[in-house]
Amino acid sequence: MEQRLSQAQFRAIFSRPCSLAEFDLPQWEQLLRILRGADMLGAFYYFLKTNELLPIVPDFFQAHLHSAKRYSDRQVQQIKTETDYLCQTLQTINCQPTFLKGAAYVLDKTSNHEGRVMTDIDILVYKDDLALVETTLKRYGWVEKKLDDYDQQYYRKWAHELPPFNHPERGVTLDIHHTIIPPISGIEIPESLLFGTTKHTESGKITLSDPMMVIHCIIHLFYNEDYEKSFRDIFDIHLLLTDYEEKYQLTSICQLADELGFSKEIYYACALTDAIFKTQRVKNLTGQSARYTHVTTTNFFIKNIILPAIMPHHDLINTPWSNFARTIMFLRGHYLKMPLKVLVPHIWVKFNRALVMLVMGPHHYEK
Amino acid sequence: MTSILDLGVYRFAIEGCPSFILPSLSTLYDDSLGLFPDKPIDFHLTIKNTSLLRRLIKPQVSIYFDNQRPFHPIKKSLLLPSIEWGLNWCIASFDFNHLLIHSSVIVKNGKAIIFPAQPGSGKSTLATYLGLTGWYVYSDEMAIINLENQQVRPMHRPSSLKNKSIEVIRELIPDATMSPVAVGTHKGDIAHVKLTTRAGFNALCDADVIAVVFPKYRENQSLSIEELSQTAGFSRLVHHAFNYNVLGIDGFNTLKSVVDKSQFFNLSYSSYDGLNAFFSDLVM
Repeated sequence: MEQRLSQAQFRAIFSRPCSLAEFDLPQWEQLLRILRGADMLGAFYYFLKTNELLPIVPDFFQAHLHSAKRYSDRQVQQIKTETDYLCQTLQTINCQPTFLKGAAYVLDKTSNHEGRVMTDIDILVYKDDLALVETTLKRYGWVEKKLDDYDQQYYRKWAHELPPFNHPERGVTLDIHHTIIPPISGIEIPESLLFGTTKHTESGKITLSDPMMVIHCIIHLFYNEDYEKSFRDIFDIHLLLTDYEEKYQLTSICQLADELGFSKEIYYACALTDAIFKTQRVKNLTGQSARYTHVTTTNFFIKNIILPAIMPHHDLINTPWSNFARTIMFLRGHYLKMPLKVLVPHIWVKFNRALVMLVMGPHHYEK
Repeated sequence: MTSILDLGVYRFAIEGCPSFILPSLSTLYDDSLGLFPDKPIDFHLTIKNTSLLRRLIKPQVSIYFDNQRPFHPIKKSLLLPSIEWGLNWCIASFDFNHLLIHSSVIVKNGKAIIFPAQPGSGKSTLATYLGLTGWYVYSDEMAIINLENQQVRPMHRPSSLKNKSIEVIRELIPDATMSPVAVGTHKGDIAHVKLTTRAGFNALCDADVIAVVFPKYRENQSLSIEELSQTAGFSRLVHHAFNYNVLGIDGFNTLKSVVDKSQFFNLSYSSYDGLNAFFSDLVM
């Protein structure tokens, strides 16, 4: 029986890339499947390139890396064009969108943008502009994506986000936000902090400020319930922090996080990158975040729940424990996002659907 | 159990491959089934049952590709066509190292003619007929064009026939090796036809495309062949290329090189009489 790649071996690639030299062909094959399942093949190409390890990669793996690289390079090009179109469209109502996540990484040329793939473009606009943005997009050929009724209702009522838009001619999906954390969580980020500190990229487009971009990436990971592809997120956070540390001290991120109420999330992120990428971030934390260093329960939670939960979800590498940890994170994500009076009915609907799917097969609600 | 399919260009593994399907795979794929067990695999398909209850009542299976499930679950009896679509899906979704054109490919004298067309135009049936009457079929579904040398690469696979085409080929070539018919897929009835042995496939080399023919089967219509300009041909080819928009400049250069070496034709036909002679002339 061939040797299965363990979670520890997988993690070791990112702290000690030269450990790849000891991989045999079956392990490379497993790695290919895990990375492809995690949408990380393109990013892995650039990771190996940075570490000058491309020459040790077996030929069959090399071919898949190059294919994924070509795809993601093309997407970078596409993002530049699509964001141009979008700015022109919204210019007609004097709205300058702030680009978030993947599109922002491309526009800002952060280290994690190379090789990264995305399924949609995210923009942030003022809440007061939402209705106008919606009608304008529709006038320029964008259409609302069809969601199943329950989800659509949920989006409108509780997430306070417009449902995703889709441009049928160009095949692009657009997500429109008016804040960077679902308002239902009860956490409000003042508009002045979001929009007042934005920056212009080389091409003149707008993204969040450097510290806000990192914090947003961190919030996105920890106010989430789906951890199946989260390894990519922690890899994003690691690279964004690395870029940030080249220019500034972590202190400024800590300060902003304290102000917004995300000190714990900053600690989580730094402790996780220390564990996976062998960075030394926790000891450089200041303010509220630094306080968690000696909180046993927090450290236990990070080591035993978050860390296994963010491993790529794949039959080859899942363990009963990592599946359990992912379930805990799933429940936690829902709990954080919703007050109980929303959460209980929501879970009830989802539970009933799950029951029907258990009996009828998991595809009962598909049309 | 896991079965390996070595298609030449790509290597697939089918995990959880039910034993009832092995005789069909073995007939169609010949020695490519289980070939080179120690070489790495490019794509893994995993076949899983859908739910406990559905194991007993109207059994269904799903095909997973790592974490993705590209198709709806299907009745067990329809698995073979779904595996074939699964292979196509993997290639089209993940191979950006080749220019892929939705097209069948026939070769003689080391020269290739491709038939780009929408589903239902008869390209597979035409390729199957030709494959059983002296041509090499490099694929009945996609032309895999090498970006380095702009040549089309062979792939060892059976062809797929739909609905009436199954009877057409059975009548024309009664001794064709055909899989059992999967009745009632979302595309109708499907059967697969073996076109070459593995040994026969091993003798094939990459080939230059010298002609592009857009086929259209039309009942009761006499044969009509109309030559097209290279410009018109180019734009029609772009339309049929799956991944042209991703390949950028390499895609353009490859397509341009194919166009430069090719003649283009619109073809409508209702019988195969005379077609063989026409194609043979093109590859003289």
